[in-house]
Amino acid sequence: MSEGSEPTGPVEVTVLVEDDRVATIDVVVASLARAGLHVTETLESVGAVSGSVDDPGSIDVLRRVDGVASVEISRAFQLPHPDEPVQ
Amino acid sequence: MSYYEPEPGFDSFVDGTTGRYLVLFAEDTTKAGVKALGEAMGLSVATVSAEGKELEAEEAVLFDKLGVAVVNAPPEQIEEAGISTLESGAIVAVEPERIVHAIEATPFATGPPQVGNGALAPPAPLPPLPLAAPSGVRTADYLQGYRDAVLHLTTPPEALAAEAGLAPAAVVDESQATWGLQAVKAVNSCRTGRGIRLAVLDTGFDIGHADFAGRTIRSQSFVPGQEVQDLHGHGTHCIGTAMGPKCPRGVVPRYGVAHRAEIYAGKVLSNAGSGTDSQILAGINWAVANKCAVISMSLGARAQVGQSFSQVFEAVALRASEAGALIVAAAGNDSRRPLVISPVSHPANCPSILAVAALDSSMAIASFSNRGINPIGGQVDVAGPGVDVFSSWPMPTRYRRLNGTSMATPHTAGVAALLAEANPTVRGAALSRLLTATARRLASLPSADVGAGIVQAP
Repeated sequence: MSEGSEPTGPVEVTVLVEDDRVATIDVVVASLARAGLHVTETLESVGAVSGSVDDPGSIDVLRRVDGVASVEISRAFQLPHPDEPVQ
Repeated sequence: MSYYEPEPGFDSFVDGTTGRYLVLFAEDTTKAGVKALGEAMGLSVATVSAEGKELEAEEAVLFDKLGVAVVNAPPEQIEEAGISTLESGAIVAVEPERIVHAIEATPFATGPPQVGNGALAPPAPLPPLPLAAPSGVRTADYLQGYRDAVLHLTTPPEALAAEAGLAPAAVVDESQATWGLQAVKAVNSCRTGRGIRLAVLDTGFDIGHADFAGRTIRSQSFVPGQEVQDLHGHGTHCIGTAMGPKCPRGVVPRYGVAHRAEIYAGKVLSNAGSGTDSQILAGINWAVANKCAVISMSLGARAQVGQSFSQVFEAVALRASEAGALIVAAAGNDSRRPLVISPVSHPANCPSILAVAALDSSMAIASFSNRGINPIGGQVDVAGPGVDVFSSWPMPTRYRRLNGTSMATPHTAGVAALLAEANPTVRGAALSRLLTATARRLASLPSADVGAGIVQAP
C-alpha cells in the first residue's frame, strides 16, 4: 500500500460531478474535455469521470468547470508480492 | 423492513433460534419505533440501562443505545406488528434471535497452522466439529453482543471475555470449516447469499479454479491490457473467503462465507498488484450498474495522521449506497504493533465506506491492523478474521493461508451478503448499520481497533 509521488508532466485525475448534474453527465464531460481533460471513462452510475491532464496546473481549471464538485489526483495502490505473508 | 422466513426444512425454533425476536430500529427513530411496537403488540417495553436487565422476564426489552429491542412473542404477532410499524418507517429489520454454541479451544488436530505458500496437507481423522457439538451452555449471541456493549463499562473485561467463551490464544479445530467461518457464525447459518450479487474488486479471479467449477462468474477487467485471469492470487483468495463453495473439492475445510452468492469479479489491480483510483472507481461503477448489493475492496493506500478522506470516493460511496450497494474496505496493514499504529487507509477512511480491521483466532487485534485515529470517517467500523486465513489460490497451488485486513474484508462482505439475503429491503447504509448492530462486541478491545466488534452471520 503506497501513495503516488508528486506529479510532474501528465497526471491522472478523477473528477466528481455534482449531484444534480449526474443525470446529464455528458454535458459536464464535454465541458471537461474543452477545459483540457483527456477523458478515459465516464462512470455514469456513480457520477464520476476519469482521465488525465497534460500538467498539474490544469487541475484548477477543471475545478472551475460548471457541474464539477471536486477533482483529485488519482492515487496509486500496490499490493505486496504474492509470497509475502501479510496482504 | 423485512421479515425472516426460515428455508423449508429448517426448524428455526428447535435448532437455531430462541423463539425471541430482534427488532432493529432506524437511526434516530428508536423512540417512535418503540411506541409503534408497543401499540401494535400491546407490549410494555422495558429499557435497559448500564445496570442490565433480566431478559426472560420481559415481553420486550429495549437496548436504547443500540436501537435494538428483543421481543418475546409468537411469530404471527411479530409479523403483524412488523407490517404496521413499517408504515412509520421506524423499523429496519426483524429477525429471530439465534442460539449460539461457543467455539471451543481444542488441541492441535491437524497440525499447527501453516503460514505461507503450499496446499494444506490432508487432515488427520476428524474429531467432532466444535460448532456442531452441544456446548452445555446455550447463549443468544446477538444478545450477548448487545449486552456486552451495554455492560462493558461496568464489568471487568476478563469477566466478559470468560462469559463469552473467548479463551486466550484459542486454537480452533479447522477440520470442517476455517476458524474464520466459525468465528463469524457462517457455518450454521441457514443463509447462503443466494440471489445476492457480491463484487470483489481486486486482482481478478482464477476462472478455472476447481472449487468454482459450475459457478456462474461475471467478470470484467479494468486493468489496461490484462485479462480477468488472476496471475497474482490475492483476488482469488478474497473471492474464496467471501463466497467459496460449501463443499470444496480438495480435502480441506470449508472456507467461503456466502457460498451461493453471485460472483462478480472486477479486476482493478494488475497481476503485479498495482492499481489506481481511476481503475477502482471504474470497478465500483461496474458493480453498481450490475446491482451488486455488496462491494468488497481488499485494497488501500496509506493515509497520514490528520489527513482527510477523499471527497470523490465519499460521494461515490454515498451514490452507491443510494443505488443499493454497500462498500466494505480493508482498514489497512500499516501498523506494527505495539510500536507503530497507523490510521485507517484510503478509501476505507471515507465515512460511507465500512472499514474492516483484522483479528486472530483468539480475538486479539492483528499486529498489522490499522486503528481509527483520524476524525470523521477515519474510524474502524467492524472487525473480521484476518490472521492465518485459509482460502483458494490460483491453480495448481489451489489453497493458501494468508494474513491481512485484506482477508478480514471478504469475511465481512460475505456476512453482509447473508444479511442482505435475510433482509431483502435492507441495503446500502441500512445494511451497514445492520452489520454493526449485529456484530459481536469485543469488550476487551478498544473500539478504535475493532469498531462494533466481529461481524456475525444471521
